[in-house]
Amino acid sequence: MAQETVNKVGAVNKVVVVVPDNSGYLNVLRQAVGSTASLMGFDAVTVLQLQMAIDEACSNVIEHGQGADRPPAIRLKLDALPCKLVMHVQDHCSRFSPLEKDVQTLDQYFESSKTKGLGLVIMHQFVDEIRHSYRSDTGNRLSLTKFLPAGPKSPAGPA
Amino acid sequence: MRITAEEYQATGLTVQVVKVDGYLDAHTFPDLEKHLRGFIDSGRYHIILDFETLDYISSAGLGLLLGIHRLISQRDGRLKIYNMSESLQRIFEVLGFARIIEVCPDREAALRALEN
Repeated sequence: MAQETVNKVGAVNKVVVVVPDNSGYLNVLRQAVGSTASLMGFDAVTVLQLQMAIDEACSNVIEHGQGADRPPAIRLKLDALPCKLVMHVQDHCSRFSPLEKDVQTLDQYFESSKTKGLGLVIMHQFVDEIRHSYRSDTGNRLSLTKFLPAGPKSPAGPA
Repeated sequence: MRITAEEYQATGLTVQVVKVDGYLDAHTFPDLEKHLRGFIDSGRYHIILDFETLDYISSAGLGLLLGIHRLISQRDGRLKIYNMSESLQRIFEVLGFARIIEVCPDREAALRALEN
């Protein structure tokens, strides 16, 4: 695992965490999101929601990530901007876009006999924007954006 | 994640109280699933989960709770949760789990809910 923290690069705080493509490291990714989102001033419930969203995005990579020709790894980059947090998840697996999957409603989830399928609901419900791109050389890049509720706010860096 | 199980007996009712410590995600949920399925396989269908020291739950953990709830409901059993943090409780409500699985404020309330 490699971790790099760059504090206050212009108006942006960037945090980059690279972990093996293994569910045992999901907590490391959640901790990075939790710490960054808390420093930005998101409330405790929103912090938890952002951790859940990134957990689901990275769990998808672990579950669906096959065909990589590089060592399997997940790279999480957090851009703490004055008015929003953008969480980029990058992997070198074969193309996989969660945006192309059908998202159930919560009622459909509970009515179904299955217990899977909640992850996509969580991602869509807990962040404001989801974008996906794929390049053959850099792989999948999923970007989840959450806006701060009360207008522009300076990101607080670690002391 | 650490799991501690305790058996509690009330009038005509044997309850399994399970304390879950740490976080419940795609990596850790199989441990809890193994414990809970073990209780069900041995005929113990009334389960209370103590989430006082549970910090986090993912969709994998929520899916496990829903699956266990369905399984024991089919056997006339019940699943209750108590001591859940305010943040987790809010997530539970937003995602609609609170209307499926009852969250009680404390152990006494959870036991009463099982007995009623």
